[in-house]
Parts: sequence; structure tokens; C-alpha cells
Amino acid sequence: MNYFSLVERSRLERRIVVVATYAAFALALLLAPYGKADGLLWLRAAAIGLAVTGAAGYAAILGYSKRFAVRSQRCEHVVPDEREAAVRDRAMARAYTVVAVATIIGGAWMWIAADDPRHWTPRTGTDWFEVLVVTQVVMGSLPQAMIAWGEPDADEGTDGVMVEGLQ
Amino acid sequence: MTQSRRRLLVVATWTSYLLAGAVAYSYGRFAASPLFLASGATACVLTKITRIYGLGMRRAELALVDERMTQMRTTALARSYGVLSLLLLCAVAGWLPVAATNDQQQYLFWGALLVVSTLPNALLAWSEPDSPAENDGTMTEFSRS
Repeated sequence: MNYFSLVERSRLERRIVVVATYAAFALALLLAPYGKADGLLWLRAAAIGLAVTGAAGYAAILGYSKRFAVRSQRCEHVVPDEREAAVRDRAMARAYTVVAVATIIGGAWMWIAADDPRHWTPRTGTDWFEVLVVTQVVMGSLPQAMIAWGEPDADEGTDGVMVEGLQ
Repeated sequence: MTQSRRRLLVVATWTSYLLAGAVAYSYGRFAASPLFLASGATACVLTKITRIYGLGMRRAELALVDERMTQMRTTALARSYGVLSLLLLCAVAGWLPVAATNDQQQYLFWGALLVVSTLPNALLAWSEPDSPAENDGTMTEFSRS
């Protein structure tokens, strides 16, 4: 078994990887500013470690959903079957809804809180770089994470029912 | 509604929004209000004519939409995700950091609302070909809606 591949993993393990990936990125972003202070070099090291962990999970999630051709719908090398194409389209449709709601909430927050220094909005170049990284990570992996989250185990049918003979 | 008219509607929706921004920047918000209203009105029409695909429907109503329409809606939403990804990355990397005033941020908020609420509808309206019955003058699903 390839330890970095999610293909042969159970659904529970895939879900743990999805949660761990996003949690690692979020913690890395939260810890990174504190690591700049003197004497807190270990915090910076922890942030880097979490970012690397998140990147490994990100790669594993993308690798798992490669056969669904999320990124390259017209790629000739990866031709998903009818069920896989339907799963991919459903995941992307759900991801669109999630991102649409998040965009509206984010836009409203920017508009409302921009003039009030008590509330956090991205103001400096570093803030905007962090927002760009979060956008890139989320937009680049959300449908794939939804596929990894929802796909049944190998010994289950596509509708989640155990296949006879594999029980 | 024919495909060319639907495409015109899509172009009108987003062009009027962009023009409204330019007019508001040069002459003030009051002068741009007719264009904002036109953008909102065309967006409403666009939403209405593509409602047959199930966009914006409740779960109970979605059960009544036929399989082909459901598949087209899902495909349009999937394609919209790719377009929205690119737009968001461009916005975060380029447009949002330079929006300094409250007016500019308000304009971008309404733009985001317009884009996320009409993007799948626009893709459907743009890509759906004319049905043969439309050329005969027979009523179609689009003209009925």
C-alpha cells in the first residue's frame, strides 16, 4: 500500500485527512505572525511544519480525485466513467454553492468592517497574501475534498450498501 | 426566447454593471442609478428564464425537474466553479487590495453578488441552443417562462 495515497483508504481515514489538511493550513496561518517575535522560533518552525503537513494532505486529496478529472474535464488521458463524471459535477456544484455564499459573506464583511479599525479586514500586503493563499488552497481543493469526503468505501456499493461477496 | 436574445441579455446584465461603475466613478452614484437598476432588472429576467433548470428551486420543487435539465444545471454549476475560481483569484490578487474607499468596496460587493447569483444562469442561457420548434414559431420552454 502506498502510504501517501488515499485510493485504498477507508472513508473515515479520508475524512480525517481532509479535516487535518484544512486544520493544518489554518493553524499555520494563525501561528505564522507570532513566530516573528524573538525567542519564539519554535512557533515559526511549528507553522512551517503545519504548512508542510497541509501541503502533503492537499497533494493526497488531489491525487485521490485525479480519476474524476476535476481539473481537466477535457483531458484525454483521464476519462472518467459516467458515474465518476456525475460525482465530479455534483461535487463542483456543491462547491460552487459553498464558495458563492462565502464570497457574499466576505464581500459584505469587507464593505461593512473596512472603515472600522476594531474589526479585522485585510489591509497590509501580508494580509492580502494570506487571503490569496487561502483562496488558492480552498478553490483548488474544495470539490476534490468533497469527493474524498463522500465517496463510499471500496467494499461498499456506490449507494453505500455493502456489496455481496465483499462483506 | 432565442439564443441570440438570451446572449444579449447576458451581455446587457454585466455590461450595464460595468458601465454603472464607470459612470458612478465619473459623475457620482445618482447618475449611475439607472444603469444599476437596468443591471438588476436584466439579472432578474435572466434568473427567470433559466429557472426551468431548477436553479434557485427548493428541494421539493427540484424533484419535478426532468433528468436532462438536472444534468445541464449540474454541469453549468460545475463550469461556474472554474470561472468563479479564476475571478476570485484575480480579485484577491489585483482588484480588492486597491479598493480603498467604502464606495469602491460597496461596488465590488454588488458585483460579487451579481456574479455569484447569475453566473450559472448566464452559462445556461448562453450555451443552450435554439430548439427546432423555436424557428417554427411554436412555444418553447424558454418562451413560456
